[in-house]
Amino acid sequence: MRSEFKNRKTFEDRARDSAAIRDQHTNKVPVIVERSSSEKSLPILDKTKFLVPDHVTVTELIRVLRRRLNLAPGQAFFLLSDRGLPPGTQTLAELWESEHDEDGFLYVFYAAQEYFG
Amino acid sequence: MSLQNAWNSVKSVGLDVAESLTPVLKTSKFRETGVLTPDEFVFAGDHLVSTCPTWKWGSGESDKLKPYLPKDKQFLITKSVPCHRRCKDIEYNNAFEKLVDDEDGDGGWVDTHHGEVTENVDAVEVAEAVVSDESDDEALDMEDMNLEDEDLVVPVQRMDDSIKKTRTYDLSITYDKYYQTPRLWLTGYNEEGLPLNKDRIFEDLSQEHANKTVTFEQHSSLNSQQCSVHPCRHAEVMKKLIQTVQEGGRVLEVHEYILIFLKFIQAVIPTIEYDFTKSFHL
Repeated sequence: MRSEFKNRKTFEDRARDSAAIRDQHTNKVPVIVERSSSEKSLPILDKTKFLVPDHVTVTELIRVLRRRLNLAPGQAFFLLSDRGLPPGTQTLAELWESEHDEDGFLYVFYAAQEYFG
Repeated sequence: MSLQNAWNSVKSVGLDVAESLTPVLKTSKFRETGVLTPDEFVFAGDHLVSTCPTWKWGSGESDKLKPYLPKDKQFLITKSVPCHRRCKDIEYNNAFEKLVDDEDGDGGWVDTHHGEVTENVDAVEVAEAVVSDESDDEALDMEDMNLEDEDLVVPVQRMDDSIKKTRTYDLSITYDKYYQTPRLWLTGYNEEGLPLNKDRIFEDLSQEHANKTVTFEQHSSLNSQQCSVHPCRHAEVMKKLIQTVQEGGRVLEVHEYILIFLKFIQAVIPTIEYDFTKSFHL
């Protein structure tokens, strides 16, 4: 999926940025969170760069983001990683390990719709 | 029972009648509409069973056999799935959120759990387990047990498994002929293995969904009342997911349907640790 953040900054800048923050926060994962390019109904997050403790699970990160977006209950919210839909019980450390970009960031995208009823 | 719940139950009774009148779906429509034929359900179920061996096919009660499914493949079931935490335990408190390095030109970093004490979760849980063991198990007398010294050195992992008790759930997936989608059922047990009542089960359902999409009804293949995630919008969600993934450049195949279904169901039961393989990628 296309990342605006990647387009905006050079590889060198990104690599330096992720290395610096990982140096300062050894037990946290640098995550870039962006709206999926096909998503139209959800608002855009005010921030892109997230620093998430490595033991936090995907489900917990989703809660963080839902809260930040002020989503109403019942509004669905899917988090997509580079290779698909990561399992909710996976920790950010595990996800970073298997899917991080060469620049040192983990990229995730969100999409949604109203669902269940 | 809330009004929403009552309405869902009424709807379900009506749909039992409707289901018997709905013709069985014969041609595949899953890409266009997100629904499955019974054959596709079996195909996707076979894939689930082969990739996640904790899931098995079941046949259920003989008087509830669905003629459009093979006798030995009436529904999918996984038993004794652990559920360590209640939903309220994973609520996020944004008081810990802090913006760091906010003059870096990107708007800074959102430190989601700022100042969080790094805790060793395992150690905490084991400690709690040991404490409770002391308080309510008077019969345990180390001297009587005649243990060798090395027996006292119990690896953390083993202590975790043998002492820490958790709630467990049996999950099953049936084919809903009316909605033409899989349907999830669950029934839970407390730390002692006794059935959980409705209120206790509700503690393990995401509050956003608990009263809206979850009903208690007669299982369509078993003789028990179970909690079920109502399937009325499953097809719509599946369709949307299929499209989102396609726009990302991948094509979903029908055998992956139940794995994806299990992923979105996790929004409803975020702390029940059922298997849909960690290695699964689209």
